[in-house]
Amino acid sequence: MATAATEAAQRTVALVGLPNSGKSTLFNALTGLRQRTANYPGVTIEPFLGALEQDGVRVTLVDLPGIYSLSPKTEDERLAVSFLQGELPKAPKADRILVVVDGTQLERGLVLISWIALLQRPTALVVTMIDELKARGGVLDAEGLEHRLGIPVFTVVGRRGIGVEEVRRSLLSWEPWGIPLLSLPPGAPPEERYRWATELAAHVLRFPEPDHRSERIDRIVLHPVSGLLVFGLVMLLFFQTIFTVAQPAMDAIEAAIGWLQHALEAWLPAGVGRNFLTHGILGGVGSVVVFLPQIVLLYVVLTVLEDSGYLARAAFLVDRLLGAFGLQGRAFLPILGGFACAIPAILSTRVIPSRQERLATMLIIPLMTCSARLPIYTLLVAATVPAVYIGGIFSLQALVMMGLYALGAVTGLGVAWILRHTVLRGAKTPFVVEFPPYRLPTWRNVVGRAWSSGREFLRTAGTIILALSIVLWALTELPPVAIPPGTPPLEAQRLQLEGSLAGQLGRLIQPLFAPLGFDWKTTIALLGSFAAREVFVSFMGQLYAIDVEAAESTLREVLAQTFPLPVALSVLVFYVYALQCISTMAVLRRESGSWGWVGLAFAYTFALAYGLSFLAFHITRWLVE
Amino acid sequence: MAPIPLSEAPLHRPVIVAGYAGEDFAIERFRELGFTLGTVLVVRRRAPLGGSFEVECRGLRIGVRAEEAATIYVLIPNGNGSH
Repeated sequence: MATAATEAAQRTVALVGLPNSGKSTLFNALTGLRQRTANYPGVTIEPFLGALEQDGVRVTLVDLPGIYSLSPKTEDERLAVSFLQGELPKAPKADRILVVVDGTQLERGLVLISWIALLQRPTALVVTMIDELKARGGVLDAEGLEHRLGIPVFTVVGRRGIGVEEVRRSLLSWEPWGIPLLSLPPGAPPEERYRWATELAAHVLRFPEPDHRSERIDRIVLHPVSGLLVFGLVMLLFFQTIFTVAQPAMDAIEAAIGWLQHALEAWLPAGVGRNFLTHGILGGVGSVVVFLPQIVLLYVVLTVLEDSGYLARAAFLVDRLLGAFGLQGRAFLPILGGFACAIPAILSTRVIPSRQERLATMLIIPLMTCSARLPIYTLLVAATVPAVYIGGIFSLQALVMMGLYALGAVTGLGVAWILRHTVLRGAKTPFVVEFPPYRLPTWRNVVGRAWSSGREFLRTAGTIILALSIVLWALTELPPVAIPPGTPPLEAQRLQLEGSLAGQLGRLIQPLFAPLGFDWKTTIALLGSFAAREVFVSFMGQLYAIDVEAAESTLREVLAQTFPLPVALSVLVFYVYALQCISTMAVLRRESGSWGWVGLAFAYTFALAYGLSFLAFHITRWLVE
Repeated sequence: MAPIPLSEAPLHRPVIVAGYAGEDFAIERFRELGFTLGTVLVVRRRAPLGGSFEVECRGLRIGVRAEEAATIYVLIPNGNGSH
């Protein structure tokens, strides 16, 4: 029936729980990969939506950020509470509330229920981590709890899918749920709520033993010496995974795109149409997809670290270090992620509760040397820095590379300090981080998160990058330059680039960059980089193609002869600082909620890039001469 | 005995929450987390690089910054093992 189907289509259930309650694991177990992010206008944090469907009945499950009460303290919590109270203008109202509670933390979970009860909505309770509770000698009388609260109570082991079927059935059958019965006045303070929860828990629960296993692990992981060693090791593995493991996949994607481009060029007649297809569209798609392996891997590693319980300990460990710069412990992984790609790194700042600290972290992430800068660094360093060894051990080229990485990171921390003492001064939220028990991450969760994040990247950043790649293509291919017949193809390519809008623009603004030592070729390549940094290398390739062919050598060798060291260093410093990535700006706009922050990020990075390149150029020239 | 800040409480010894001295919303968060008046807390360790403490509260271990731990006042119960 049409009406019944429409009504069913609108059934919405909010999934609510304390942080670390196993809520997302349950969500993944219930909805599998059928997830998408909700796009509610005016909201910068987008909860995940999942669908359950059977025999024409459809229930939408909304995975809300963890909350402690109905008085939010962070952006995430504000979203969750507004959603529950039906205050988000374009979001559906939650018909029902499914509260998720960690069985080993029943008391706290019951306190949350005491808040949720104020909403007077049909509610059910899912008690998770039942296996852990049992392992620690705890016993829960679920029926007794059901009786005392007046709402259905399910016990599950979300990570193994035990008990999940019953929850699914209850959601799909839309059997009546109850409104929690409490003997508490609505305005009861936390003290009274905890007293009530402790009393109730004492009736239905044999309390578990303390978690000795996690404590034993913490004795190593949080030890002043071994703890720092473990931390260093984890960081090493992190980088190893992001760079080494992702590389073959990225190479394979680039090779596949290149093969497709050649194939199309062989099949189609020459012309602007073919060029648009191979370089505009395919080139654009390629520059998006090539990031995918790294982004998916970054999320795999992040999820493993988070679900295992190590992330909380690591945040605790480095909080002091980052605290000195006005950031908090949780900022370290997003910052680290920035060394792979700023886009997922900015997305992962959502783990930081305070808006000011989160914004400060987002604004400095572009200063971390992402993998898109690597080809430029490699090309210029290899071409212009002498391949000598200092003291016979340290390669000067390697030292310069390391220096470039360090330059970005150190400046970033300094900028964070300045931001937190000026525009982002604001109130500090208390830094509290709960230590969940150590757990083995589940494949379902890791794969689920990586999958949805990869899709999210393609959807938001991908479309923007693709669009801009096409614009960039137009700038370099239009207007078509009249090339005399018989011109060799490489020469024709160079003439086209020089005569194009980009070429004209490059010459026009070259005087602006002359104080940094950039000639018009470098300026054109630099302009192209504002869409995506790696374009620099391909532009330089095109601009120097004719010289490379004439000398029968490589771009690197040609640059080694024509590119003086001061100019190379100036370009390198420029790339360390400048925010030349429209995708990053797009993500920054979405996550910060305003173009103002994007403007600030662009302006301060450009000022740093210009000023320090100027210094690098002149100081090196003075030293060399 | 007069209450002392949690940041000065001895390691591994149960102490009882007796009062707060921080900003309202921070105190509210601590109370929601279970640091309510009369709750027994145990400081388990200092962070390896300093700056924070690991505090056990109602069966959960929580990392708390020293400056925030200084806003929670606790009493050290007299005698051994008494609550």
